[in-house]
Amino acid sequence: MDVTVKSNIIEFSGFLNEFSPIETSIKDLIVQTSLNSDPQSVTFDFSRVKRGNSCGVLRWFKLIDELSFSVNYVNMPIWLVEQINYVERLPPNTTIFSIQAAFYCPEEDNHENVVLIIGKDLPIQDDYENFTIFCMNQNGAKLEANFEPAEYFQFIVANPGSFVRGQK
Amino acid sequence: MKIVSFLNHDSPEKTRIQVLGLQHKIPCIPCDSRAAVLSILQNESERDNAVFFTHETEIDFIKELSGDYPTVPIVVVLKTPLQKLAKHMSECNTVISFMSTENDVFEEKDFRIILNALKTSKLQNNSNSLENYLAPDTKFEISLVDTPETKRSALLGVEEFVNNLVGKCKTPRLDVYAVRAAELLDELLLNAVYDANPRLNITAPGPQFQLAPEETATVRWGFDGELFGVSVTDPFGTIQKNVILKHLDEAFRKQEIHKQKTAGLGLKIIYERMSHMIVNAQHGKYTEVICLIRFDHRLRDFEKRLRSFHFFKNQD
Repeated sequence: MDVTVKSNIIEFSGFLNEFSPIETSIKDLIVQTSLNSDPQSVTFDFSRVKRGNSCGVLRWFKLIDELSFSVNYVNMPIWLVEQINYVERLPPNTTIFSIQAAFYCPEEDNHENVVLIIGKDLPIQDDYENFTIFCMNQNGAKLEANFEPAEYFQFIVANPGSFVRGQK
Repeated sequence: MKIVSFLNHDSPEKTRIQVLGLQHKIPCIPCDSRAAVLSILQNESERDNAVFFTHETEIDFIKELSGDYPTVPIVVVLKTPLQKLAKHMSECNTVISFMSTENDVFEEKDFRIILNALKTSKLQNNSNSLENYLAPDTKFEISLVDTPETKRSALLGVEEFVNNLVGKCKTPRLDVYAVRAAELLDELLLNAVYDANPRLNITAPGPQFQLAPEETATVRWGFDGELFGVSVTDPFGTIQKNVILKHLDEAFRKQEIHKQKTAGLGLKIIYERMSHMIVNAQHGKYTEVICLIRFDHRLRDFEKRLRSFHFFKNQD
């Protein structure tokens, strides 16, 4: 997994797996980067990480559990949202600001991933049964969710403290 | 072979199994009571080569038959997701298949998988049987995994293979399915390389490994125009059906995942990406895990798909 730091945002790319140096160089970089913020925190962008396996994800959560400061996520990719849904529980020091989601355009019969800002594009609710969400693509055509909202947004229901309401 | 079925009187599955049985020239004996089933199975010549089909609502009866008639394989036609039943089913040793249904319909593919396994298990040592589950003219790729580099290469090979199915497959989201197929394979390989291997399963997976020739995992994959199939074979044969079912159970899975164990999350990742999962195992000899995936046009349809699980234990 490769790493780029921009201000206090750490951007990862590559793969999150048993080969990633999570407990060594990545941990050191996270702690070092977090010191640039007051209060101490760090923001992760995994959008360029293509995929992760169970070994990498569980080692990652174990590391986050050990950190004494806040961690934030932006542009969380679909594969990571799905794996958090399987685990259901997020470490308590975690806030997710935005996620990617798969949408489908019936008019043009094509697909695209859209970034949803939680609390703005996506309301924070106690459940997402019968919830519908639409977006527009660049051509002004309607996009509909290409996932089951009750399943895909389950991580919000299970971790209501991990989201900021009314983001601008 | 003969089918003994005890399914809801008015269920479409009951008629469908009879029709499929006829098509494959297999006699089907529908029963409308437990007593009728027992009257057949109690007779040694009658129960010879019998396969018993029933619903999960008959769990007590399944447990009873599993104990009393260890040579009679049982197929459970599911009305509810396997993950909600897995805990109760882990004690039933003779259950070989869980066939999912949607609106009371199961996939014919599952029926054919069961027939295929029952026909071939007594004839051959099926440690490379992916070709039995895809169309006859399917071309297969093969990759041996014994180092981190060969593991990465196999994952890349599968991802590229699916991405290159343009024109052979209707879905426009091959990129997404390519990643999902690689994610699934990654979990199968974590199991074959680390968990199944008694030399490596005592420590957490690490950045380096070197497998001896007799420890090497074999990956095979292919696409038959309808289904993508990938299999991973390890030479250990340590996998157990009740362990898989235990990890599929929703409550147990979450509890284990929170303890940072990988098996629960890994199996969940596999389960969420496959359509049919088939395990062929011979204790101490080999385990072959086969996953078949149907690439639906819309991802949302894929999320709603039926998922079935088959576990065929081969004898020495």
